[in-house]
Amino acid sequence: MSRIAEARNRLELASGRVDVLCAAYEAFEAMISVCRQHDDPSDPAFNRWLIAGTQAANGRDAVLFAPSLPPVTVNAQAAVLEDTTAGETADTVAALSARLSARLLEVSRLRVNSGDRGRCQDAAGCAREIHDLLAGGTR
Amino acid sequence: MTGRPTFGDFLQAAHRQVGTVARRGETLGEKDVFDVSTNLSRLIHVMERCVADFTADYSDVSASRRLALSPWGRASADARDALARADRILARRPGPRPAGSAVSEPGRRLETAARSLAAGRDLLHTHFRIGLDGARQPHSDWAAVVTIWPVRQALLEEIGLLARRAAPLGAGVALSPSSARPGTMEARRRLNAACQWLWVASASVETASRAEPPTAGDRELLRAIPVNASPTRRLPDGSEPVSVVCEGVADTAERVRRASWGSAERAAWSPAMTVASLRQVAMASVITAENCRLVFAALADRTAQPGFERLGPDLSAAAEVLQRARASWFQVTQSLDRIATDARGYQSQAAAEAADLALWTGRLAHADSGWKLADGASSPARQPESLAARPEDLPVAVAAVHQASESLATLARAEQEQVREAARAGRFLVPTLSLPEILDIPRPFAKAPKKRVDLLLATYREAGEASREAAKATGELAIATKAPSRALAAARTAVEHDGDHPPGRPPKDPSNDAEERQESPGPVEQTLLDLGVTRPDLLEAGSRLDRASQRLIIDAATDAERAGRRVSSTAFSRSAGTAALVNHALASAEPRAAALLRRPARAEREDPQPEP
Repeated sequence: MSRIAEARNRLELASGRVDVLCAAYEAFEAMISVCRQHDDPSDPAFNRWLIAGTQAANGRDAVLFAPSLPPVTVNAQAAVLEDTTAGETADTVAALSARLSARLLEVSRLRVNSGDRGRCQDAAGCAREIHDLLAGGTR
Repeated sequence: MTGRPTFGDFLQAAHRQVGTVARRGETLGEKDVFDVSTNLSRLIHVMERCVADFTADYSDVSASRRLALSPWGRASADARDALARADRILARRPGPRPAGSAVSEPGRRLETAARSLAAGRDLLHTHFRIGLDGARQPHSDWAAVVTIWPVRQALLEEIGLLARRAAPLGAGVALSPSSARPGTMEARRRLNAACQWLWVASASVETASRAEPPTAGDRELLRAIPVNASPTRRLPDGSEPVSVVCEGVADTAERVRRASWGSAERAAWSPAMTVASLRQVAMASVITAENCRLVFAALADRTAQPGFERLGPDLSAAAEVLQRARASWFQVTQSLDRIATDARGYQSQAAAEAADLALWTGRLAHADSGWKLADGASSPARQPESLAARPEDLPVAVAAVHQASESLATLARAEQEQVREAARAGRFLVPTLSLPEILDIPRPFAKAPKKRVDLLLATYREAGEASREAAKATGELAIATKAPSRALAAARTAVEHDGDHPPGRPPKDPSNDAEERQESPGPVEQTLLDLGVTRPDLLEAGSRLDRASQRLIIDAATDAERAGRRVSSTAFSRSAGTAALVNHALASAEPRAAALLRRPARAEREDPQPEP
């Protein structure tokens, strides 16, 4: 299973604020890795991957500074490009980012401290940007 | 370059006022010696301040040791002295001090010249600020240009020229019979004495200019220095023609450079020093470099068409350099993925402007008038014919890419310095997960290891080198095509080579200035003109007598100096006849003419003279 798929799986199974934050961290790291592998400027979707990668890094940082994120290890392996087309990869990442945004907003509406709330909202915004960039527009 | 005022605009305005010296038969109108004295004093004061502010300071070098200075060093010291003397002479003038605007024609000219030059001086000062220690500090990239040796020389040369042109304007009023009204004797004498010192200032500069003439490029660079003011921010709306898009690129590039200035000084504490800002700059720079490459690739095709200069190989080579710049900035984006900062939530102005630049260059490179950053290469590139419909459109497009390239180079340098200072202040963090497991850190983030920061700095260094190469390559094309941005390329080259005093620059041919120097008739020739004589042979004879008397007076003054006989400078303005002869000698710009004006052996009390 690809790292993106693993991240999606973990995100779906996460329950509670801490679990979601850890899953979100892993999801952003996976997206950074995938986005940076698209480094050919002649690729019509190069700019989208470039901007999406930047947003993924920003989203990862937002989660990183959430007060409730524990100093635990997560699955930090390098992503491997599956045997999929660029469009399929984009769809997969877009779907992950959409789900990520939704879960982070769920957490932000819980009774959490303001630090967690702010970071979750920021990270959700980054995930939303990634979705808007990659959903249906990289073919 | 970007339509902003330049120093040359104000300099030209000042020259225009004093350049039209009273010609043969011209009437300057009602001559008010007090009015002219007041306004000449204003002009001299501004000239003095220009020399003091922007040329080398040798004021503490005694007159006897000035021979050891370079020609321009001596000129700077001598001109400063002469202007200061002229200023002091007029400061002690008697009579009313009109506070309002000038009332006479020569007074108005001098007033306007003073205002123009003062505005020019203020323009140069916009590139500096006063630091906490009271010292003047650079405040823009152009500050380095203002202070380089060739530009200082060019400025001193311009001041000398202004002095040479203003002197006959003032002396003409002082010696004119129509201005000799009761109560004006002392004022006229002082006015003429001040003008004599203006001639001395001019002669000292001209001597240096003959020995080591500034180049046309140096003069052009001085005149091209723009005001340090940011163009108004604007974003493309899709309706702009290519020429306006090019202007938008140039203006935004300027805004980027201004926004980058001083960022390193603030890096240790500024909340805008965030990794998100660094990432946006890097991302936008990747896109800008690629857009510029596309434009140059298209222009390379365009110049293969008939009617265009064959610049295809140079444009293609520059496009390749831009490609390397793009790749190096992409390395920066990847390095920034692995680092974070202590501050979040703020965006630097440089980041915002860099994104604007990416947008404007994208609108230039792509055919879609609504192109956005995310569109990238999915949108077709603009057709070469659209970028430069006619050969005269080529320089404008080249200038746009050149301006953007210069901004990439500035950004790389500024961001690198900012990262270095922020790292010193311990502002960089990394996810603990990215560190070796043996490090037991009970937080999700930790201080960034030196190795990680060094790697980041190395990528910025490479981006800086590649961007500078791109700026240089596009700058050479800007010069070759006489693009509006070529002064930027000249500025970069001049600053890089400051200190490389060009050896053996051929001295200027004095005969080139002869026509301008001798445009004012001497006393004999003027007398003939006043008598209505028009025969060329008689006027030529009068001119010869004037030149001979000039040489005679200078030789006599030099002999007197050698023999230790000293005559007060004020003595030469006591009678109109003497003053006219001395003025004519000084106007020759002969260096020995300054010997005519000597400080008296002791402080001399100037007795009031009886009215004629």
